[in-house]
Amino acid sequence: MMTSTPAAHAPAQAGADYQLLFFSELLDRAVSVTRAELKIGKLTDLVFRLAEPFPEAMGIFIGHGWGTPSEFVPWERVVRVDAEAIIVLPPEGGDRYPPFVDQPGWILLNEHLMGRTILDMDGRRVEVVNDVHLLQSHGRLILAHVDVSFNGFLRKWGFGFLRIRPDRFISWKYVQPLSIEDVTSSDKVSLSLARAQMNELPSEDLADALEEVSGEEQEAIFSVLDAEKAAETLLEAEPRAQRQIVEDLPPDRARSILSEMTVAQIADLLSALPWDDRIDLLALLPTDQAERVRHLLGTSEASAGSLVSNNYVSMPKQTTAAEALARLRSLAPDHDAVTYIYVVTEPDTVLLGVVDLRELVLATESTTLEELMASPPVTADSELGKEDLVDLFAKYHYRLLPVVDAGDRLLGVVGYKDIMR
Amino acid sequence: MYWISKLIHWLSRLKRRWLILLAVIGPGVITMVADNDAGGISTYAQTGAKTGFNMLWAFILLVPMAYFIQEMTVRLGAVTKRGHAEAIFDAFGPVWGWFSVFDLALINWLTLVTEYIGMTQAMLVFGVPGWITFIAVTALLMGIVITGKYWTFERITLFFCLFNMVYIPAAFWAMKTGNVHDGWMAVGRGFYSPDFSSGPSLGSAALLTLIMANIGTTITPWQIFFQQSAVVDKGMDIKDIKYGKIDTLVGALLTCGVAAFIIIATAAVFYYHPGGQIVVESAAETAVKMPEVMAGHWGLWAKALFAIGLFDAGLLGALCISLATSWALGEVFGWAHSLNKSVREAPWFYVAYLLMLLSAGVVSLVASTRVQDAITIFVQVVAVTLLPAALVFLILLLNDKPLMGEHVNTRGQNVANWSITAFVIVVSTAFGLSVLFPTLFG
Repeated sequence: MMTSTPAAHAPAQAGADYQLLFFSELLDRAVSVTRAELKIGKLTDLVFRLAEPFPEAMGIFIGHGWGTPSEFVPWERVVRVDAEAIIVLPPEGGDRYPPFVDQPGWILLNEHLMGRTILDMDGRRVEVVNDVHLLQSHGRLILAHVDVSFNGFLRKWGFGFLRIRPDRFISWKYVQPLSIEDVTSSDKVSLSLARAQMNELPSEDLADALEEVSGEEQEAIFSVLDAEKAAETLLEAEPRAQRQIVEDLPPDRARSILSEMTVAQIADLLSALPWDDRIDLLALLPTDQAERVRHLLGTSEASAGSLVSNNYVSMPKQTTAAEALARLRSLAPDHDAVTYIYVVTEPDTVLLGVVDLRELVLATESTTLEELMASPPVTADSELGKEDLVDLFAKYHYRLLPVVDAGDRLLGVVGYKDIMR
Repeated sequence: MYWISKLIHWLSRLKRRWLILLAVIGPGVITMVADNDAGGISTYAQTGAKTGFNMLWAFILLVPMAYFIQEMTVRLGAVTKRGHAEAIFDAFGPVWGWFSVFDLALINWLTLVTEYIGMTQAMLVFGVPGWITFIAVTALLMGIVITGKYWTFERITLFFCLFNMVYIPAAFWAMKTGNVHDGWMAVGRGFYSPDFSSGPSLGSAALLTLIMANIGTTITPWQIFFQQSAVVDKGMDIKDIKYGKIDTLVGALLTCGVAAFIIIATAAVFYYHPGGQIVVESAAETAVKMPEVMAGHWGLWAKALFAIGLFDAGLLGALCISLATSWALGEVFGWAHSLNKSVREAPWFYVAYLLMLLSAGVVSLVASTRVQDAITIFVQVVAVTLLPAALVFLILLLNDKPLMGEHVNTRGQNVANWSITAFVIVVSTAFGLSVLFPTLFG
């Protein structure tokens, strides 16, 4: 669970004398020098430095409105946080604090955090940061949780007494800005939970999440996925999201994502894109692949021959089960299509039969593939159209079908997911 | 035996081609048939009653005009995968973008009011009170779109398009009254040698207005927006352009064919009425007067057909016009906007759609006749400000080589499109002015 009660994740050194504060309550609170009456301004923002495990307050940002420079009060100068005012020491030398200067790794709560979206990987939802929960102890102020509940929103507008639903905090431990650069660049920031977890999510869920967030956040989330996950997610996304994502994709990244897709999948993706983006992506592909994609895009009736993928494993019939398994292991992890082993004659690759991986694993070591294989195999003629292929898949419930030419020579395999759309 | 298997293979190929074609038929036919909306039917009925068969030739010209303009939206949508509003924003900036979208929303809303008026009038013929029609129609229009599948919407709408054909039997029955001296020969002459000298005379200003009204109802701004958005929502790709063109051509032939049959039907019974010409001013009036001019149960049937046709026209018009607006607003405001999305996924798209229907329907119920007339006039005036811009933008976009690639307009297409545009701009401006200042062309 990522939501929790505030105390559960409080840092260990907190001890007994600590104070929990909501940022919304601190916002606009008077900042006074030594006595509450000597007010120098109102707290406009709080500056934190990103650090593990919890960011620590660097100081108070006091804005004075148009024309007047802002003031930055370092947190060391803060004496205490009272209900009516924040008491600070007088500035060293001069009667004003110097203006705020941004530094790498610093974030401003109001500017960068409040109101931003958070991708809740646990609930697979997009949440909004309505408030930030701070912990004050021994003169330090620590960013403990972000509040994504409706209460935070109410507090922000002064209706905090209406507690409609329980608070929902997400510990900062689980919150990770997508990148530090994003956070400190003033124009935008989006937050997400630990990026390492991102690649573990099913691509269907990621695609749904991508469709829900706006363009820049989409880009940010998409950019942390590895190429394989990115390819799967992109294929799962709806056309509008696909267009937006591809539009902002740097060429190198696009190339590595495309290399994770089959020709049929690339053609599917490109058919949802505007012409200019399509040309750009085609230019990134190797010539022969680009040619096949172009061919697929140009026909309304794709044949099995044009959909084939070379991602399959074939072996001669006299191979023993032990040898076959050893060869499979040496192929992995690049090869993921190892469900079936196609038994062919050498050198002219006439397809003789198919061995299921399950049978291979269960067989004794000396059994040859010839004894194990199902023969004659179910094959798709390279002339078959897409509709006929759908029928074949529906009939036999295979995930892959071997595609053969008129002389029964194995041309490649066609996958169920290549024709479903 | 080999040739038998060859033949079977060939036939199955042919069948598959047909299935593909049938699957691609949709946006073009719907746009074109919905173009014969409530206002359109009224225009055609008036044209028939006032000029007999003498205006039929115009529809031979209207087929290519409608086809060439709408065909551009197919290419633009299939190549760019963007709706028209989005395309204008991208290419011409926010000023023209907002201008187009605001104008479109306004004109569509006003037209929507006229569709509701048409539907309530049609159902009044059967004695159904206006508010019942309003509620039933709004529920039906909402039901058609909320299935969450573009495909379902398209098939249901195509089914409603079939009802547009009811005017064909109506025309045959009207011809059976024997009012027309030469029968179908006279109809044929209307296509190549119109004769305004014989028969009841019509002032040149009134004639001009009729010609302009017929063109104005065949080429409208919302059609451009609607068809492009529909092409995009359907997910048509560059390879489908050739089918999209066939779709558009079939639609253009249908819309002009149906219009011609409406004119034949009304001309045969009103213009060539043995007791002298009977003047009708609207489609509902046409339906009501049918029993007077056709003896026995034929007249009652014709009345029912005209009323059904008018209702269906209003329904299709309302459906497509509200969708065109919802799509355009969705593109501009960045809402999810697709019929392939559920209400939960694209709430604003459906809310906008429903709000338009409700507001237009309520206005149509409470508006007095004078307000309704004012709306009709205002639609024409706003159309004059939007249509030229929409057509020019469309052609400019189609000439944008980086955007369109090899599907950029050819020289021949440009000649055809620019001349059609120039003609439509002149005619629609003249029409707008004549509606505003009725004495201008007197």
